[in-house]
Amino acid sequence: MFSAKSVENALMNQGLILNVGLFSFNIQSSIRSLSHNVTTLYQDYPDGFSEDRARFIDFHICVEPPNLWHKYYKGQVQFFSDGFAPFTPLPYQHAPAIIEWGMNWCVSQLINTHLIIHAAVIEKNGFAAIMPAPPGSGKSTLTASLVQEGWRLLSDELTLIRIDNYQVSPFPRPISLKNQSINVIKQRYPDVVFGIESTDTSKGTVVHIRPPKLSIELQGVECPVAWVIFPKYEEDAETELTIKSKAKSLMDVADNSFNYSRLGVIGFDVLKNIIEGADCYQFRYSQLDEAIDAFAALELPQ
Amino acid sequence: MNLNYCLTSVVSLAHWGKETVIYHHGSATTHVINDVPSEVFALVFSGKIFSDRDFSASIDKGLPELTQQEKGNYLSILKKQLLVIELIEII
Repeated sequence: MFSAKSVENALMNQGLILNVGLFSFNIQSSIRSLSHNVTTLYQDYPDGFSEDRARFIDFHICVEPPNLWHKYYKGQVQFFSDGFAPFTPLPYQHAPAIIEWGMNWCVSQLINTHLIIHAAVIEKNGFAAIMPAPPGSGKSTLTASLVQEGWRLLSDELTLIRIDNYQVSPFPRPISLKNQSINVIKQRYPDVVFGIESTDTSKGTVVHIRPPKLSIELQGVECPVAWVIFPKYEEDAETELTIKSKAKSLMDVADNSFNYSRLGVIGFDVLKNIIEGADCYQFRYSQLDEAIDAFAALELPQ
Repeated sequence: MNLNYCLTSVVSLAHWGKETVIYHHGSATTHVINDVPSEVFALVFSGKIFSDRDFSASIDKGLPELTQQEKGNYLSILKKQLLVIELIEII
């Protein structure tokens, strides 16, 4: 296991190589809070902090102030991928969140071997449940709870579906929690390891939690999709799992996809096959216990 | 008037019950159309030029239970829908 000091040294020098799912990231940064967060959240990755510089690196990324003006006067840092900055500079204290958002950006914008959907995806009994939802739907809170209740985390943010065999490729990264969700998960699952909070971001307070160890150990194991579930948290709502039409489900998944348009008809064929083979539901909930029970009761494919 | 129409581009389809999802290769757009009988889609997606009369005949076959008035209304709405999403064009 890498120590905090060795992670910090690697980040400040040649870079820290992090292998997550199918992808290798080389991360550089001189920001101490980021180094602390990476050590906390990624230390369980079995093939994670690698020193093997001979292997192919998919993404060379860094978080640094873009110049001295931003560093000393504005107190801002910026995310770079191969020298390109997709986001504007943000406050220094947001660095732990910026690196996670940046890693999402790399995969969602630059990978076309998979159909990429803005959705959480979890697995049980060899089958995946995809949960596409816009921000504020309670997707991450639900995901964080379900993975503490026996579901395997494949991804909290990006569902990657291979275009050649329609299987989900795991990309298990720390789960992002925001605002009230943070305390909900802290109280329900006191053993969950939290990273550093980034306050006053555009999304409010953001913190990432360490994924379960088993999800990381199985990050090479792909699986087919059995369920497409559109979750929606609504205060005081009764738990309700209702069948959603396949056509509407296809359209809504396409709307939540990053590269459906880029893939053209290949994207359509992937989605058609996924929706064809899956049970599609709209899911409304307010009580996590009931939501967990509803997921446990999902029927396995015949 | 008996206008002629043709499909504007190759399409890919997914059918689930009465719902059809259409991926239009030319514009890379996806559309859902509900409650269209297979006879009508067979005509529209045949790749051949078809006329208003062909359209009416396909509706006669696909929806024989409708009255002439209902068939006329249905044809008018469907045609407008297919033209608006630029799946077919008048030639």
